[in-house]
Amino acid sequence: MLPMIGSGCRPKAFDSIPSREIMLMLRFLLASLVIITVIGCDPTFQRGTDDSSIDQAAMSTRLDRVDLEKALDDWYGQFGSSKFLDQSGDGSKTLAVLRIDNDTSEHISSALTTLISSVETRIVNDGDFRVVTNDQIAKNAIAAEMQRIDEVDQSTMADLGMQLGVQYFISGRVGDSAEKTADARRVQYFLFLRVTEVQTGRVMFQSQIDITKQISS
Amino acid sequence: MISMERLFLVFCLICTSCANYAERLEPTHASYYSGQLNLAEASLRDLIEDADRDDQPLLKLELASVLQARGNYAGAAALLIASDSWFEVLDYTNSSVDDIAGFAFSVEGVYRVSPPERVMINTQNMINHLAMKDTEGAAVEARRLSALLDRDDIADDELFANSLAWGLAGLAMEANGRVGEAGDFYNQLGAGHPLAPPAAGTEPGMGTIVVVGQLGRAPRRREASFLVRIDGCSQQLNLPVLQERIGGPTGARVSVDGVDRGPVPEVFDLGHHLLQRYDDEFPRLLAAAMAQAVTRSAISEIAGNALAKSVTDDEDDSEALEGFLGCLIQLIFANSLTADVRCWSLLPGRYHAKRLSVAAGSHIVKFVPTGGGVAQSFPVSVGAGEIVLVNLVSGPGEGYRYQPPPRVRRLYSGPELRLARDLVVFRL
Repeated sequence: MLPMIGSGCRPKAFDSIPSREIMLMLRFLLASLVIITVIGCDPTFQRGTDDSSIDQAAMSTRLDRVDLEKALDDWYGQFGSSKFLDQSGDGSKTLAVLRIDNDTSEHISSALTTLISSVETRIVNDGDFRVVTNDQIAKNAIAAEMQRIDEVDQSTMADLGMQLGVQYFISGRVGDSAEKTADARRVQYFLFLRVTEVQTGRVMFQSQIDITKQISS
Repeated sequence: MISMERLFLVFCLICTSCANYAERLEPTHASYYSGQLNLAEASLRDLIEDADRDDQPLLKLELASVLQARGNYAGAAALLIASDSWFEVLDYTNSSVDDIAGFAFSVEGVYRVSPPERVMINTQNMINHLAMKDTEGAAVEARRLSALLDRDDIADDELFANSLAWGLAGLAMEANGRVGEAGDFYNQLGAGHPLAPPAAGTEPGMGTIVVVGQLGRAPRRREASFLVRIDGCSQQLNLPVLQERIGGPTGARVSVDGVDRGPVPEVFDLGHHLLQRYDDEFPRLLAAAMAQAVTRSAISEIAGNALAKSVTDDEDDSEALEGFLGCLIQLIFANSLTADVRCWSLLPGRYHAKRLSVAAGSHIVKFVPTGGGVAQSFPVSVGAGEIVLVNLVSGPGEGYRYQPPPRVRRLYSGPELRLARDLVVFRL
């Protein structure tokens, strides 16, 4: 049977609470409300140059500057010690960085665009290859051709490479494994970058970079 | 003698009751459905600025709807991308009475979205990204939708009920050149679904225009009072109810470059889906309200008694005040424990969609709602093999009419009450 609601169902335990204590509780609640209203909160702005620690903190499961710097350093560490660079990086060959496909469940395309620019910058500054960056249409055409996976027409690829004026291109993809528990979400990124010879379609160098981000409450 | 300080305390207690979410949003609704989208956006931004942190995420979903209706897909997408991780899900159809009591009758704390609302975050954002021709962003949203299948708090049936979401996910993958993944999503659609790709594939030199019409308005939560008889006593309980909203077109037709391409079929009746779910939610909400009423009544009676004694030391005054303050505090408690009527209230009632094959080039797509609403034309440029989405939100052209909250209803018998009583007894 359900308990009655009304004067007849007052639990005896409540009778033992002194009225003065109830008044104190009510006063405390009222005072807390007033204090919270009065204090308020203003936003605080900081510069990374004033406090370098703000660049270090992970704010989300997406890729931030620290992740991109790590990815670039890891990649260049492997690329710099590769046989491919040793044999072909004499400064006379041409290379284009195409694109990195986002196969993840995170909106990181702008971060990947930044990574492409960082890779280009590093190669340009080191002078191992001549980097072609000015023909986005031809780049997109090559990228679209590559996406056909099993049906890549190598002669088309070679023609597009000639059109773009490159002998090698760098492309990649990033995948993820995202898992969630009641109080945490973890995303493991797997970034693959490879160098392909346009004329033959041969993969000359490939590397994998792993990055893990987690947000928990 | 009654002190001023103590009367002030009573006054403050009375002032704790304030406008609920539906009432606060009424000016926004008035502007939105009258077609004054700039005013709707401004009023929402004001609300977000003034709102406490708990209400801001939900208000930002509302803002995303307004921005999408204004054609600001980038702004809407940014809000929905961020909101993907903001919300926990609470399903009133299968949660415990205690969980429901903790959230459905408290407007404190971050709003927990219902499973259909959670699915709509990714669905609406696929529309945003496809409308912007950002196929990669749309593909990310499709993967996020797929990831919902792994979650315990959203039933698979709930996900598959929304065939619009799976159709858009297939389109997102197809537009992004991921044929295999697109096929996985398209396989979830029934035969002849308006968003399924043509069996023969896209002909050379042709592109695809997908028209999506968001018509009418989804029902929204309002507070309703129910008179419930429990063991001979009549009790008033405040519950969140889903209120159907009137108005809006009944269908739509589409033409391309002046040539009629036929009606745009309905692919998802969100309003009907929400109302069906509410039939399952109601007994649990009722049970939670009954459980709350027991506690509430006891506390208010004790507090009234104590306050009366403390306001005056005079024996006669105390007795006179006790009854009055007891009633007053009961009223204050009843009002302060109002039903949580928060919900994503600017969602449409129904989604219509159609896939059109057109020659590559520039076209004028005209969307004509039938039975209300305003026709709209969209210039569209589509390349060979490309998929472009055209989105029409009819809400801003439907007109605004205030709908008062439901009246007090008597609920003295019926299967819902019996089930609710069983749930309360089981809990106790």
